[in-house]
Amino acid sequence: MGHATLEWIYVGVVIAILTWVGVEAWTGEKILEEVPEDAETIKVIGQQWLWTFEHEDGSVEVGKLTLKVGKTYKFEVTSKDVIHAFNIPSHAILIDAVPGRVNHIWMETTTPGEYLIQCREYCGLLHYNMRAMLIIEE
Amino acid sequence: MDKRLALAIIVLVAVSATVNNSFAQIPEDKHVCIIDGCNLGESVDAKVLDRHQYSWNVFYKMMTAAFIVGAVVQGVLVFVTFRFREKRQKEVKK
Repeated sequence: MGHATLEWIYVGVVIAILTWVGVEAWTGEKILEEVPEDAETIKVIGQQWLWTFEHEDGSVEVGKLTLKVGKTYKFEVTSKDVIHAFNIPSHAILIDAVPGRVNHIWMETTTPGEYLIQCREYCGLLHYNMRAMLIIEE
Repeated sequence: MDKRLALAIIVLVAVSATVNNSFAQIPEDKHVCIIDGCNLGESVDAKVLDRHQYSWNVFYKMMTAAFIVGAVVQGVLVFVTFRFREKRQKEVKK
């Protein structure tokens, strides 16, 4: 067995694994990005230094977001002033809130309770206090 | 050259299939748990996506892939170097 054969083998192995990594990443992106059709849309607006939530029925909540358990929600996230980041640590939700742009992310509510919503991008003097409460009700 | 190319393709396909089947995949319907972090075979809600669980699952899979790539490349390099060194010693002795 010459050098070239060995090299072909390891090139083959490496390409195969990297191909698998690419497919895995693509599939993962699809699972995480694709919003289920039955998802209810919540508009999330960040501004210095509070969060505003607009429900589909037109109701608005400030500093508090009330959701029902067992439902799927799509968050359309934007900002009124500087760049913020919408973060719910307990549900691994994190997405930038950028002025003039709407980013989206979705989640399912499985367990009732109160959870923290916070800004995860330094946005000014009171960034540390830019928090809200996520309440998941029965 | 043809032989090498054929060998490379065989290895490529074999390794792809092995690696792909070695790890648990998330099925589209997700009715039965076959991913890390829940009991295998357990019935799970078809729509639930736990992002924490999913992220760690991907992390472990990617780490495994990275270590395999590292081991293969390093192993081949060490082997080729070692064999070259041994061959040179014999030539020097002659």
